[in-house]
Amino acid sequence: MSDRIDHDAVYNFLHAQLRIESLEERYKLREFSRKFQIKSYQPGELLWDLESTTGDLNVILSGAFGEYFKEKEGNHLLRFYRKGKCAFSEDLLLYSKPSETFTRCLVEGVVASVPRSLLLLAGEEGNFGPSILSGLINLSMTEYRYTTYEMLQTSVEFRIKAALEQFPELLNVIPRKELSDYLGISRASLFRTLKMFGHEKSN
Amino acid sequence: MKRVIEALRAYFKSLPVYTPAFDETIEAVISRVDKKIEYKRGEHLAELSPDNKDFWFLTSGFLKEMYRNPYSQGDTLFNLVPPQSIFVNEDTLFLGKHPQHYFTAYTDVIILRFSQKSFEDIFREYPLVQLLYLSGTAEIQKNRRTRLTMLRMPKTIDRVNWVKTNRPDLYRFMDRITLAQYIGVSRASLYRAFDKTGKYQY
Repeated sequence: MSDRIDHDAVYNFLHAQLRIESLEERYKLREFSRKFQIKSYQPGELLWDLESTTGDLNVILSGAFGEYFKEKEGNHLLRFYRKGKCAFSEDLLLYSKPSETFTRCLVEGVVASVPRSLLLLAGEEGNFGPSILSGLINLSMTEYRYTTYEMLQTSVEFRIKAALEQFPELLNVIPRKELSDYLGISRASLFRTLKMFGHEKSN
Repeated sequence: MKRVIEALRAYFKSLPVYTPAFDETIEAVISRVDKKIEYKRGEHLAELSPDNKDFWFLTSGFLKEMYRNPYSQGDTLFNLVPPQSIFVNEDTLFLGKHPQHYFTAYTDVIILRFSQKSFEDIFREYPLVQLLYLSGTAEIQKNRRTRLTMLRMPKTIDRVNWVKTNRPDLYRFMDRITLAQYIGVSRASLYRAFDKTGKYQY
């Protein structure tokens, strides 16, 4: 019974995000959502890493995850995933390249996943696979657009406000140092501004 | 027209997905390009009005992609679109919503239209057009991801250097106000950063 509920949730989340419109494609999406495997994650566990090869498409059923971009100077938090979001390595899933990112569980959660091979198999049956891929790219573009809005705010206050609007749980899921890196501001500025907003206690 | 069409052909051939197998599809797309429009510097692109789901190609010049910033008065630069780029009303095309962005000519520009209807017509005969679309949007999405890395750099001068190194196609043509907006800092911060390092934009 709980699997049925989870698969319904996968269908609903995918349908809400991917703009699948025709009846035939919705039917295919229903079938496709039944192929997802459900798994629980504890904080710190990886959804995918730099060595992953499968390129799963993941749907977050609960919890929160952070995707990090690996660079010479260190790891940068790229974006967050929470309930209802599709999470995937663009490099692996869309471009068949080694992943430049890894994704870590921040808050205990449940994730439904399907390997890329099944997505490609769905693609052999007509336009459904490319529609999903196209929808996923559009989703990523839209998410990056919203994150870019946050980062284009020249004032620290507005930058924090914009980030909290996108992801209200932000202050509870990552340490302040990581948050200041994510927002591209100093820890002192972050602390001062959060104090002004009433999120930090005075010394 | 011949030159602008050549620019469009060169764009498709520059996509990572391109192989000669796409040539027929590319020619089919090119044959359905139905509008060429020229704008003077500073003009607003009225064609990308609400509900426009067409695909547009910037053959020459630069476009400013603007949006209404809810946190400050006036509109803010979202992106500077270089020549040889595809651009669309993302809100309308992807989400079926009223567009939050609009485009103005940063320099004199020439744009071409490939309508959504033509895309659908061609798709029936040349399904590879879907892969061209995927590859084109994927390039935009990759650029956005790498730009976010720059926008998270705490030092203004590091952001400037990033643009200089990674987007010389934009850097050479940006005035200082546009550069400041592109890297998400105030004009004062940008000027301070240049003064402090003794380095200037050009």
